[in-house]
Amino acid sequence: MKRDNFLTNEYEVRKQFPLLNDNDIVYFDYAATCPMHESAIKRWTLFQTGVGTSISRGNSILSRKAEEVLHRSEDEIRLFLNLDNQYEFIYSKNVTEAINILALSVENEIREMDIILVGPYEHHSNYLPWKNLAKKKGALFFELPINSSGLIDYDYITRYKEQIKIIAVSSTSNAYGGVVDIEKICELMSDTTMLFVDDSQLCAHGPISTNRAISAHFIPSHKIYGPKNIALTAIKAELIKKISPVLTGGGMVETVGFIDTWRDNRFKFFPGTIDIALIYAMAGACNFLREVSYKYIEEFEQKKHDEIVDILTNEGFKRVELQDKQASHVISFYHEDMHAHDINEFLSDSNVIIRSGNMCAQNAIKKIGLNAINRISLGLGITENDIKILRKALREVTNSINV
Amino acid sequence: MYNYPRKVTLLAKKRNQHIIIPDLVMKKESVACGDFISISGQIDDEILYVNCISEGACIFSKACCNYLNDALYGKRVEEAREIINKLNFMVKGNIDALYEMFELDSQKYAHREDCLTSPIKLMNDFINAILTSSNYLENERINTKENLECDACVGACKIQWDVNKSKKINNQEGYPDEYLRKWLPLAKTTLSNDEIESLKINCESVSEDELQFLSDRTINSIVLDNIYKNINISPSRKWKPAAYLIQKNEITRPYAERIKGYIRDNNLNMYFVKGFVTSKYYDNPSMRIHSDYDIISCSGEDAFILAHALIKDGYKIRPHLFSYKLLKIEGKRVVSGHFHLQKIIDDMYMLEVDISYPAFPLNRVDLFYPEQVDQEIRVEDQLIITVLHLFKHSHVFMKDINDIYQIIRKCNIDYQYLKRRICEKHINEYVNLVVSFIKHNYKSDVKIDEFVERMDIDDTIYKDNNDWPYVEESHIKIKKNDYEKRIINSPDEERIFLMPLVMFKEYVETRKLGELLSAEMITEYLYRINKKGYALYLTGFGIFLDYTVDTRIVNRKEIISEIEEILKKLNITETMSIPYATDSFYVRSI
Repeated sequence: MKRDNFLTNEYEVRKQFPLLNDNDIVYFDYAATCPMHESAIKRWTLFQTGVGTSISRGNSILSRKAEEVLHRSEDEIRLFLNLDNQYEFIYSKNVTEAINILALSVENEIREMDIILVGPYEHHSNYLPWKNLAKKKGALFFELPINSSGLIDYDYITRYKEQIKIIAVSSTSNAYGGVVDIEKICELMSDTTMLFVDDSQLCAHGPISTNRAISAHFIPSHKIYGPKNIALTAIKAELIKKISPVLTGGGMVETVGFIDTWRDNRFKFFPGTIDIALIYAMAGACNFLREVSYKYIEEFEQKKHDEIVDILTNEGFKRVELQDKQASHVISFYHEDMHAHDINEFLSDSNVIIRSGNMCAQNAIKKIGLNAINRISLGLGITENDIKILRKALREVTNSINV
Repeated sequence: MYNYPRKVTLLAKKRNQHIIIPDLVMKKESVACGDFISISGQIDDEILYVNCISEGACIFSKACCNYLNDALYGKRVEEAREIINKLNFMVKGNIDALYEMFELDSQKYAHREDCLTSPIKLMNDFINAILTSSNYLENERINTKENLECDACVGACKIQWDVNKSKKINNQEGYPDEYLRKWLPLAKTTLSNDEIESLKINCESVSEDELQFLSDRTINSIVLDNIYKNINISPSRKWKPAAYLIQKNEITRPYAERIKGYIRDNNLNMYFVKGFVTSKYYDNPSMRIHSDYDIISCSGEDAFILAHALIKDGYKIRPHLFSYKLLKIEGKRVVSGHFHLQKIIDDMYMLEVDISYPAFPLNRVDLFYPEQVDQEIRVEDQLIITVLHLFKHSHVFMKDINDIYQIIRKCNIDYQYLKRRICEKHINEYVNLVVSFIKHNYKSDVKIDEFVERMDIDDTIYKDNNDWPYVEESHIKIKKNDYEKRIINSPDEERIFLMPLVMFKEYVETRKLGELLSAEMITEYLYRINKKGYALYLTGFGIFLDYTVDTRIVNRKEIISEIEEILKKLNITETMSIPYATDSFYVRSI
């Protein structure tokens, strides 16, 4: 797929996603999950027939192949994310699990009355694990405040610098695309603060921050057109050395005895069987995105964003707009005269798939004075035809309101 | 609307206009991924009257709420319980039957199950609660004259419809003076070396009861700040509530600033006082924590206009903290009012707005009218207001003394003006006492010395009461002294507490209201309709009931019937649901 053709040949792109190609759906829920790219599907199948096993299964030819595939895949993923060897990779089945594991792993680093600070627009998965950690350790659990101008109050970090031990933020909010200035946080925070960034909503749409002040990134495969059930935590090597594993068992232990010891570095976070096929498939998706390039993705999504915002405005819907920057690939909206759930029923009738409700981000939704919203989220595979169907479906909503 | 089955659509469209004078109010937010449900209810003669409202909700939720209203309103309690039990059984064990009841396809709308079931679950909880305890309107009326507690701010009046259960009680016991002596000095913004040593010892060994004392007197965060500033130790988790109180400031202040913006944009004659203003004089403004945000309205009408706007923005009304009082000031009759509105943020922080009109209360029977410069209250008058607040309650708030210290240090004061104002209101003794205390107990400062000299501060009262503020008796004695002088010309009338019964959707011109209903004018923005055994009050944003209703003579049905008549005369067919505050906490700590 040549890059130059990309913007003008969105129908060809759509064909590369079997889910979109083989079903009569109009898909606008990329923030929830992305359709798997054909290269990722092919890789997963290839692995099953060519390797079929995991690493650390003795000295067999298959296990050695699995090792090779893992290392190659990780190189590809590293290249895509632009992360150097200061970051080691560990895996979980999803980002929710990844964050929970990390929160439990850093327990011993947290003292009573330390501040654990989360972003103002967080998904429950990047909120509740930190809240539980604070409860357990007698630490303080706070959200970064919004000032009276509606902007994130980054100076808060300066005011409480010495007390803040963890900052956990999403680089882009799933609820309505609020963008957090990661670079600014890196600049303001103390050297002893750990910064954990959930890049779930960014990684398929723009480059993640490679600021080395970040202690860990969370990257879900299914949000970058890869398979489900695998997520990557890219964690600073020096942090891995300090923290303890949470899940124990085969594969991660060095010796079992009166005192058990763990394998070195990241391998202490490799309990049980790791699905190398999923990592291989994820790497395939990374290669696809690298080939397409962020530049084209940003231009493509901006164009679709502008069209959809026009439609929403013309049809009388209100957008969720922040004073802070918002990502163009997340468009959240509501109507004063119809609940989000009811709007969604109209769209469902036309097989238009969006998300409605509180987006698993209740605090974020309440901040804008609502209990429920609708969300259109963008990605590769959307075509002009999809936009037409969306327009028609939204018009049906407003027609019914006006009747 | 979406082409839902007719039954659901018709149910959802119903408008429930039942007026309830509740025994219990229950609310739930973020229900079923995006709904808000509120249930209020009363029981009279074993009959249940209930209002289930789903605001800004989806069709299913509205339909279910309206179904419940029709099914339960006016039913005998036992019958209502049977009905809800049947519905509950469907929710737990036969969901298809519930869908069928609403003529909904259970396959097609499987994802909407919570929308249908949540109102039923909440109603089930509600009925269980209302039958076991009617806590919302309690039976205690607090006698505030004994210790001259502020009769506006202390929850002094609640209705109990069963009048036999009503009683008047004295205000609760305070804390031992030992706590005051130990901790109030450590809550100053500046500490001496001895006090720092004392802080080191006390912060480690602080008891739970002392922590509660610190929290009640809102000095826990000042003490925590002093720990951080002066002692190189990490405080233990015992101090968490204090830290959350500081965080509350960070979270709630932007909301207060938005209120200020509304006031300015709508040209309301209203001004913030105390912490919102004085915090800027502190090195770290966040340390000047608020239990609430205080606003003075020079106009009662403006106060009500703001109240209406805030209620529409989701603020709740604290029904036992809405009142007015008739004062006699310089021979003239003046209506002085007060109310609280609150908003809970993130289920953690309560933002409370405390509005007084038409001026700042002065020892229960007088008012201080501040002057404005450049759309703000003059700093001299802010200082006086802070002094008056210091003597408003039955105990001292150290944050007021801290504020006075900071204002004097940081501001340019017009001493002539200040002297005149102090003399006008005869508060020389108050000022002499607090400034002398500051002079002898705070870190010395040239501005304090200048103030003492320029204001001719006489420290006799301080010497005569050298245990102030560490002994509450001392504080009450000083207040009483002042009070007894004032009531010679200004009797201390009983405060009238008002309970909201109806909230108008749009603000109504009160004078027209009063004329149409031939009501008695209390002021141009407050009218009264006198009935046998009770009185209704009319404001531009709603109808209120006088709490002194004699529940032996009148029952709620009569009152509700009267209100329905009034709404008919006013041609008002739709009202807002009463935004009763159901939570009572300043801050929660995790």
